[in-house]
Amino acid sequence: MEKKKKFKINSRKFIYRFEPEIDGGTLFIYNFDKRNVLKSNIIGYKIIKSLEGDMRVNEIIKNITKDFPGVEKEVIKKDVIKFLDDIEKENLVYIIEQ
Amino acid sequence: MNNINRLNESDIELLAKSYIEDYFKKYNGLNKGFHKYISFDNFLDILCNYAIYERKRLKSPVTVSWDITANCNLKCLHCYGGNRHYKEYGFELSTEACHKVIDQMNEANVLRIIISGGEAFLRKDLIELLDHIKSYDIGVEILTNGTVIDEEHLKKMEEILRLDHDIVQVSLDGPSPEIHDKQRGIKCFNKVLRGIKLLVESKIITILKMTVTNINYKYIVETYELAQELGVDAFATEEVRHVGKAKTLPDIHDRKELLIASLELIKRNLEMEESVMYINGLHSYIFNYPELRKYLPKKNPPQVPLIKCPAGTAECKIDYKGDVYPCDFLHIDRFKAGNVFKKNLIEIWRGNKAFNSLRKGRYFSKVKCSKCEFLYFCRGGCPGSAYAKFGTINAPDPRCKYNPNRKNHNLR
Repeated sequence: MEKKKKFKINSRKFIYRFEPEIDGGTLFIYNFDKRNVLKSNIIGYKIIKSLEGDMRVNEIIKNITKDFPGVEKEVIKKDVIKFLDDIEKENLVYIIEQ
Repeated sequence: MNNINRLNESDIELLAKSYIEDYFKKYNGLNKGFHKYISFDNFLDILCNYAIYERKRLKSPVTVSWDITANCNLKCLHCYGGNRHYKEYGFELSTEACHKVIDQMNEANVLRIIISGGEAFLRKDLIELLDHIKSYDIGVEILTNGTVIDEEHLKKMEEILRLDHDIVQVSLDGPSPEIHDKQRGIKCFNKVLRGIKLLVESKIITILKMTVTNINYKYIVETYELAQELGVDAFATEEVRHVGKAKTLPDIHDRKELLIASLELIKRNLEMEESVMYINGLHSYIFNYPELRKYLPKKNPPQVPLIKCPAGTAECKIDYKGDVYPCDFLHIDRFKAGNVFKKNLIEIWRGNKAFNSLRKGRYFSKVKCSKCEFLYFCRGGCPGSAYAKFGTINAPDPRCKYNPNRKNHNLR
């Protein structure tokens, strides 16, 4: 996945809620089309919020790296790309710019 | 009640057993919704269960029940609002104030708003409020008596609501004007039917809800048949809670008939694919029928959402003044948590003694629940009903007739 890619959220496709006190922070996503529930963590939550803020993948990675100074950038990058892949497969986001 | 007489006691046992097994099976995997509008409910259930079973504190209510008006055009004998609606008739927040309440619910990440009243459709700006709620894509369930719904409402609602999970729930308390109107206090049956027919013609998910009392309990199956004839999406029943005006309603003494009626509907659901879905079925009735509890597992009970109360842990209520309470049935001063125009909903939710008393769990050491092997299952039932009857939430739901000290509970 190219780091400069830009995604747009299919907001009508899902609803989400982040619960900071459940298992160290849990993101719950309900997919209206597939009628399933996806669970993620605070990284997933920050990615969704960043996408709502119209950020590119490289900006998202940069911001999240700042939030977690003890974690290597490569680890965060891997997590971000994996999460974006997952939600793209679920049709919750789509690419608008390569 | 010809249909009811078709079932004998061995039928009841068989159905109860199969239904309970089926229920556990279905709900063990919370994501496996068995109907389109249950699925979204199951998602909300997942969050509720963290609060109820695992005692996790949620950052804000998942669902809010919001009374958008005090006004009502009926005089239902079982109204949980008591005389409050009459005393405060005419009281409504301005449209602007309502928008602020909606904004607060959105900030709190509320996932579903249950719009109630009074009668919600009496508000002239209902569509405008719905439009605002849906701009945030918050789920909506509208509770109505169905008497004032018109084509214009529905045309706009079809455009605004999500037709895959937003719901309109209409109260229908009997199969005829004699029964329905007796409970509703005013002649309105034909208006209700008209409203239901309009809803069915629209694409909006329509559920009929029958509040079962001593007045209408013999007519459950016939009311279901009417629901079937009308072509609604689902039919729900719930035994009345003796709160508010319903405090003066007598108990239903012939519980066997009530039980058999609900089992008959379950049987029809199992046997006929085209039947109107019966929801809020036995899982709420088991609670009221000691006879059925023997079919529940006593050891290693599965963590499934059977009887649970989300009041103050996953849900709350905002009334037509902006006052916040745990739920409709604890709408009393002692449980008032604040007012959204004086304090933000999230702040009210976080630091409140009234809510904390529900969150820490009810204390049953002095009542029969302490000896009950099924406490895991019902958690004491409705705290609002307990409070209305005993003046404390640390008491059993008065609808529970189970005596843990008694060995045999035969159908009466």
